Amino acid sequence: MNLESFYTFRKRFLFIVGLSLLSVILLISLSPENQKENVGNITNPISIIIAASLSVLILYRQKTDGEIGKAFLMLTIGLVVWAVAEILFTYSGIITLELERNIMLSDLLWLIGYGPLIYYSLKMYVLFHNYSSKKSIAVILIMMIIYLAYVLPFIIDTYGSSSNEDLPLLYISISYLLLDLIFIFPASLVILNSGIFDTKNQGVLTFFPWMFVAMIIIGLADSIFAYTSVSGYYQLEWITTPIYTSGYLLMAFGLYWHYKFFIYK
Amino acid sequence: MYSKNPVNEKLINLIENSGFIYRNQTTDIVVKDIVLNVLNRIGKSYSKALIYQICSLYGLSQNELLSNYELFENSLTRILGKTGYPIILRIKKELLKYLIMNKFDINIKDILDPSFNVHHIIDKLSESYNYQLISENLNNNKRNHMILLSNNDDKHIKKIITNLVQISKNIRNIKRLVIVLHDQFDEKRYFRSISDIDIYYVNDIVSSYYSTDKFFKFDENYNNNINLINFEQFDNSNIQIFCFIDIQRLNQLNNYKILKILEEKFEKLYNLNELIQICCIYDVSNIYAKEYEIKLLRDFINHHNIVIVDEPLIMYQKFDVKNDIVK
Repeated sequence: MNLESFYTFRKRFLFIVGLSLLSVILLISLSPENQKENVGNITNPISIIIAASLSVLILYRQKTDGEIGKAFLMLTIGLVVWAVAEILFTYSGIITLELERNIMLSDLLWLIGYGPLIYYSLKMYVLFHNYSSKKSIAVILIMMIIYLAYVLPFIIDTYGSSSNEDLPLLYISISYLLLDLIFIFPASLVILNSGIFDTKNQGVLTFFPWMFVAMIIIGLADSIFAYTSVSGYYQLEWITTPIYTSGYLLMAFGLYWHYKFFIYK
Repeated sequence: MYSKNPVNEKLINLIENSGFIYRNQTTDIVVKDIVLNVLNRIGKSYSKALIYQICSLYGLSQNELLSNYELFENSLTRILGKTGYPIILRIKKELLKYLIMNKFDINIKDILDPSFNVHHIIDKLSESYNYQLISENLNNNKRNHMILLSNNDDKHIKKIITNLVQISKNIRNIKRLVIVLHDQFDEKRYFRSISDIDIYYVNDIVSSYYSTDKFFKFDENYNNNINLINFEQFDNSNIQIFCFIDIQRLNQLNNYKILKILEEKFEKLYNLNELIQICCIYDVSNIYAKEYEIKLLRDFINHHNIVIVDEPLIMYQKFDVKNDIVK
């Protein structure tokens, strides 16, 4: 592929990404009110299964040698665990018709999945983006502290004022937020360093940090999910589904990009 | 894989266009190995894919890409953007490690200096390997006719001349002849350790005959004056000849004839004597500022079988059809 055909491919690829995200968001939002969450609960596992499958394919072709091989092994483990969690969550929501949010096996799997995914994001940061200035590290840290200082009391207050008395669910929801922050920290630094805001330093093949933008989106969805879970506003839970699906789809597109350009065939 | 700065590029082009080739591949091989090692440590598949993508996007061959570090770094930065910086930093770290492990001349100040980049390290590596090659050549070849193209700060040239003198110290009945056409020649700078040396200052001869009108008329007299040095007596003896020429001085005098005569005599002597070391040191420090008689300079360079440039230190050898192609 020469440069000219590459740029044509890139334009088409970005168009497909935009179109897919828009389609999923519209599909969920325009569904009948009582079906929104169910549709979202179907698109979520489908999108993460696509991402996890691509990750397995990459691992098969790339093998586990080298630092990137180990990072992708962890990413695959994390995504597969999350895919199982999403399937179980959908199963309990649609098949067994559990309406109330309870702690379940999915939560345990989601929490386990964070470990390998945090390893992946830290490893990728060290491998390709380890040149952050002290200023940008400080800015990200301060933003995270402000976010935590706002969201944590807000969720605890919401829990206190709601009818929900499931204390372990509160702990689980807070755990999601804290674990999200651990992987949002390197993800934010990677996004800052990626040249996304500075076209002069943008790489032809690394113009968009797909995986890390996806992680921030998933982190955002987790915050909303934590709020709806503790507050007892289960009717609003569907709002998180297009956000999760978008995050997982972005991951899948990022993995496809890696498969296309960074795997030797 | 050395970096050509714009100042010496003109000179290097002149040498390369005169049928001389740079034979030292050691630096290229070392740098290529280190680059591949760093990429493979990230991941073999990733490394292969990255090289493949760079080559296909920019129409390069793998050999072209990996045997020219400057090209590799530029392509990597274009492909990966800032994401490529940590890879370059890893290459720098590995090269520094190589320099230290192999006891190259490098100080802590350089290691700690962030502006001391991969290009500087490669220049240092290239300089050391080139000096090693030059030294081997001086030690192994009994007969040489070399030209050293020096700048004002001739740090390597001084080392090479000292090396030549040192090698000859153990040879019995060796004669040393120094011919000088240079205003700033300092005998002690190069020949401090030896006493038996004959020095001929050609400056005086050229100056006394300098006149535009006389240039052609006194052609014969030039020959006679050069013949004051009886070159025939050295036909069968162990001899080292050092000839210091300031090209700028010759240019001022508008007189390259003297140099032509000298070079012809050296060539004749070189063909007759199997134990001769002729070392012509041309001061070309202003070649970049002024337009000299490039054609003449090329002709002079062509009389030699080895050309050494001082900054960066590079040794060129005459391209020999018999050895380089037929073999």
